[in-house]
Amino acid sequence: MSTNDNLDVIIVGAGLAGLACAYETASAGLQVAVLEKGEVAGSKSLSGGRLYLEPVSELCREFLHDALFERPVISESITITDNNSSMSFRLDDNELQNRPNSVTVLLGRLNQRLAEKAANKGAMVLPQQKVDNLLFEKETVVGVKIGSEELRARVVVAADGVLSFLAEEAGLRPQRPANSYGLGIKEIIELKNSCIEDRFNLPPGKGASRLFFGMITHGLPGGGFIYTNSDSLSVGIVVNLGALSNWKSETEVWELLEAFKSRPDIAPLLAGGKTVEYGAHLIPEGGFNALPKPGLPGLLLVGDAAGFVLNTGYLLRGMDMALISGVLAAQSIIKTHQKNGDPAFCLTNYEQSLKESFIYKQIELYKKAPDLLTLDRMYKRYPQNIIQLTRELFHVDASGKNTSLWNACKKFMFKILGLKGLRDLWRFMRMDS
Amino acid sequence: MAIYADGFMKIKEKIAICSIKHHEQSHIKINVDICKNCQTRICIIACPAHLYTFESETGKLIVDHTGCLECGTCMIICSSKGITWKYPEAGYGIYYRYG
Repeated sequence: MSTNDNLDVIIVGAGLAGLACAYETASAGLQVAVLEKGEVAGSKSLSGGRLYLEPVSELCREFLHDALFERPVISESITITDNNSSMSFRLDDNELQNRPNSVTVLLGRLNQRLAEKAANKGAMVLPQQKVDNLLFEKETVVGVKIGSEELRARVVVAADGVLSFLAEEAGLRPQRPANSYGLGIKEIIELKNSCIEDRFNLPPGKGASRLFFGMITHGLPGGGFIYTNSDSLSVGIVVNLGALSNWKSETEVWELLEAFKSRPDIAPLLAGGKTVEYGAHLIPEGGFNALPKPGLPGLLLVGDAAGFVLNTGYLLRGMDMALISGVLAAQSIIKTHQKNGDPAFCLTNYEQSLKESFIYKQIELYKKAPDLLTLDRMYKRYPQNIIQLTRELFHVDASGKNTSLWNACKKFMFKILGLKGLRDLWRFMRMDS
Repeated sequence: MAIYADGFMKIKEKIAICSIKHHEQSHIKINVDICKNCQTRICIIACPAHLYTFESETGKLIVDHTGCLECGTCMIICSSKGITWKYPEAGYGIYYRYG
């Protein structure tokens, strides 16, 4: 690669955030290079795979037009599990048929399509380029180093994902505490589309999200998921790394996914399917209190590199935030370019627009969530006891009697919940207040 | 302990279907002195690709970098800093075709 002194923007990482930033800045006529360490653009990205569309519908309308989505989600469910049994709440929302709120995606494929779109706007998307270091002049980032080669630009955007070595080098993430990460492990299991629709009770072309909590993670904070793609299922589990680091078990973490797949209540959904990909990725789950400063003069962090993920237990959002942070960074870069070119202004402007966006507002709103979602009893005691109580409620014994509803309710209030449980419930309900 | 039914997929089979371009040089380095005395060896349990094994005869922790999924779990979870993990060289390593 020849050194180009006229670059306006270097974007490190061709994932969603980096590509959104590239598309916007290139559309504004800036000279943009996207450096991707993988074999092709976005080939190191992995997601659960669900993207909420409404938050991005305005700012990414053109960018996501004709994007490769799998299925619009119209069916939601949350299931709690004990060792072999499960209990679900499910919403098959036929109101959503024509205006989906979210879609399932296969991120590797999506990235490649979006990389083409950014390239069509004039961005240079360069795979197999691994940035080793930042290039500083005094306190300002002025470019990157690839091996012994230096590449300069007016601004560098770190879109290098959850492990962001650039954020670390810049001193923006001095520590990486295990409890602020989730480990996601997933498989793509190929299945005929009609088979998916039969098993998940879906109209043709529509999709489902299935979330699971409880014993599937063997008491570790986290959960499992199944998302329906066009011709495959994304099946995975997520566990908190802090809890995993103290896990006293003979079981290895990858075995949890295998155990999940072979449960009597899951296996029939996957039967006859063929696993075509296996993957693992970390998720920034530290919430508001773990957010780093989103840059230095000359350096802006976007997407997972900036920690922009929201986990409320029943909603897990990262991709919409990645896209929007990429666009906001682009807007600040364009504004700075038109104005004075001052890197300090660019950073202040980006920080300000993040604060005014749903990204900071929502993550701050749920700042209590990470602590609450790592309580053991949420995953062990409550699901087991609730399933047991429900089992009793539906049981008719040899003497012809069934459990009184009133007694079951009392048992739920006083034995299962108790004061501590009521407090947990209260905290959960008020997680965002 | 078998926590799953018969017919489960072995980890080696899962790694084998992934698209990974190996670099001959390992991007994962183990500090033999630190790892020899480690009390937890949490990396063995936590690695979703099952890359880490402990050889009791030699008292050595061994890593097979060729199946790395590049999640970075080992680097974050090792509190004694025995593991140095970097991304593989440009163009190498995992290629998530589906993602």
